[in-house]
Amino acid sequence: MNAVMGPYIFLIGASIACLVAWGRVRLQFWISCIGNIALLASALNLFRSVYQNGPQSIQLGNWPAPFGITFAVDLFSSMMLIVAAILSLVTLCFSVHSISEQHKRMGFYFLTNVMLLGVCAAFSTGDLFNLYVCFELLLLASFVLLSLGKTKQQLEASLKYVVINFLGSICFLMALALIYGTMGSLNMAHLSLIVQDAPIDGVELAAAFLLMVAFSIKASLFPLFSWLPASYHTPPTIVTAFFAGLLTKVGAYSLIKVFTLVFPLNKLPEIAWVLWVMAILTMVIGVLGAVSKFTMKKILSVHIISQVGYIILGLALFTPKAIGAAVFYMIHNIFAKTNLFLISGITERYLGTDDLSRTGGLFKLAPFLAFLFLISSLALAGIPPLSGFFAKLFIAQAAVDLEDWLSLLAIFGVSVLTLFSMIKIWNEAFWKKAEGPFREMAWKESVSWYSPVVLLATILLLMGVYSAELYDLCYEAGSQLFYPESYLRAVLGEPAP
Amino acid sequence: MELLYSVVIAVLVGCGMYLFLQKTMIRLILGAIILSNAANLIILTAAGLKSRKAPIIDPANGSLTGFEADPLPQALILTAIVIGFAVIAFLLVLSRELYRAKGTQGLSKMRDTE
Repeated sequence: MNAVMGPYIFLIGASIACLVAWGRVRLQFWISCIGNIALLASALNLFRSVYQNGPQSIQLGNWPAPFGITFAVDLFSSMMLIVAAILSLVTLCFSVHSISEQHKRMGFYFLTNVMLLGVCAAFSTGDLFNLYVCFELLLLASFVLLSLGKTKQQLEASLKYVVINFLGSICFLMALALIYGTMGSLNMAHLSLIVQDAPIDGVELAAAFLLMVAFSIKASLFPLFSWLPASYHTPPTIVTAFFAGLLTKVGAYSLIKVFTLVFPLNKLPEIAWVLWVMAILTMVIGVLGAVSKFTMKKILSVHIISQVGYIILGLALFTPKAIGAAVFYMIHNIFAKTNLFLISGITERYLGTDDLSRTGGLFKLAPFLAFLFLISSLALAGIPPLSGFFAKLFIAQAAVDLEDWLSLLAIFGVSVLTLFSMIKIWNEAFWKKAEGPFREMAWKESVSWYSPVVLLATILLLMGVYSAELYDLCYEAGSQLFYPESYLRAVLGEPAP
Repeated sequence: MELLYSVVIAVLVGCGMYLFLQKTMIRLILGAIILSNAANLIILTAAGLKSRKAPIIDPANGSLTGFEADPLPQALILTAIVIGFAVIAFLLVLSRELYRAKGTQGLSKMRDTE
């Protein structure tokens, strides 16, 4: 069996098995565990073969490349697959005590598996229409996950989320129609070849802009982010953590993939410029929005927006170094953000609320949690020697290379403001005196609450310690995206045109 | 023919967007339905609207002659219709639940999660 198909086979299997075991929560849990461990193993295996032999691909039904459906995995995709697998295992472990039995009965495990399937397939498809299908798959699963439980708040949030994402999907579909109409293909590698020989203008440019709008909605970039702060804080924390880690990042991933491979930004200075402006504004406005919120989950949700700005800034600068930095930033951010959400979940468990005006005293009551929060929040803000410092440093270096001083200013200004809102959470939840009752948890229960957080905090520390090695890897992924010859060869066959 | 279709699509997108921006849920959903159909029509139109033969290989000849229609747009549209149907179905259920929970379908009353 081709290594590329591994991850999906296990996820499809796990999803169907969960469906068959409907209503039997423990069985579903163990099925998901097995599926996700298999996913992690096959993702690691895939990463190893991509690292050694270059990008890998599979043509479904054995139709040769531009005609059939292609799945192709390069270094960037395989790294994202590993990250997704780790994240889903963490989610699974955290879900044991953090959501109610009733919630699990309504198909929580099934939905997370389906969503993960959509995410993993989006990370590795080589066909634009297939990317659309994967997007819809993960969006539909996320619609249901978001509204599961049907509280008033959740339903309202779901409506906003569904409507705006629907508009994004329509833009995506229109862009695909224009691309197929003018360029005659939807295979990313084939499109890349077509674009190499011809100037991009007229209808192609319109299609590129439509794609940019569609992905920007999913990645929650500046003028299109309003759905995110209105919806992410309503579902149970574990759902938010899962969304925060993966969903907006799929949008960012698609932006990076499409605007390096299909429409390289050096041929499209207009879009590069628009993306650059959007990235800077996203960073600044996201972080300012976070300053104005006063519950933990709301602050963290709005912060997601500002962090996506950094990733897209790396793309907009468009050098191999900058794209490598964006890849590094994305991995760091997925772990840091998810971990902070998980910590807010534990806070909620202890104090019964995450409203900062009613929390307090956790530094005394749960010193270990305070320590974990410190690691994650300082990593997010970018304090050395944690991962966030290096992530920001690499993007800053890329900006300095291009003598782009405005970006540099934004990078540092925004990280100071990030630190400011992290300190706000620290002061209100950990430092000040306890306000309400503190609900202890048993040793056995705390294993499932704490072990994911400890794991992610360790990863953040290790990413800081081994940042040079990881950056080399990310740089290679960036150059693979920037010079897609090896990817084209993997998809379109040996005689590279 | 393309011109006619383009005008139809423009009108559909215009109507869909107008309904999409209205302040009640049911109009929003109607707008969504129209918009998704307009997108499907764009696929059909952009891929070319010529009356051609069915793309079936003649056994005597052994290959296509180059005057056959492209079957891919139909396949794409079929997929898009199914996906659109799923999203619209979800939206309808969601709006019903929301109406039960809040007792209104006015979108300007939905300000609790900002």
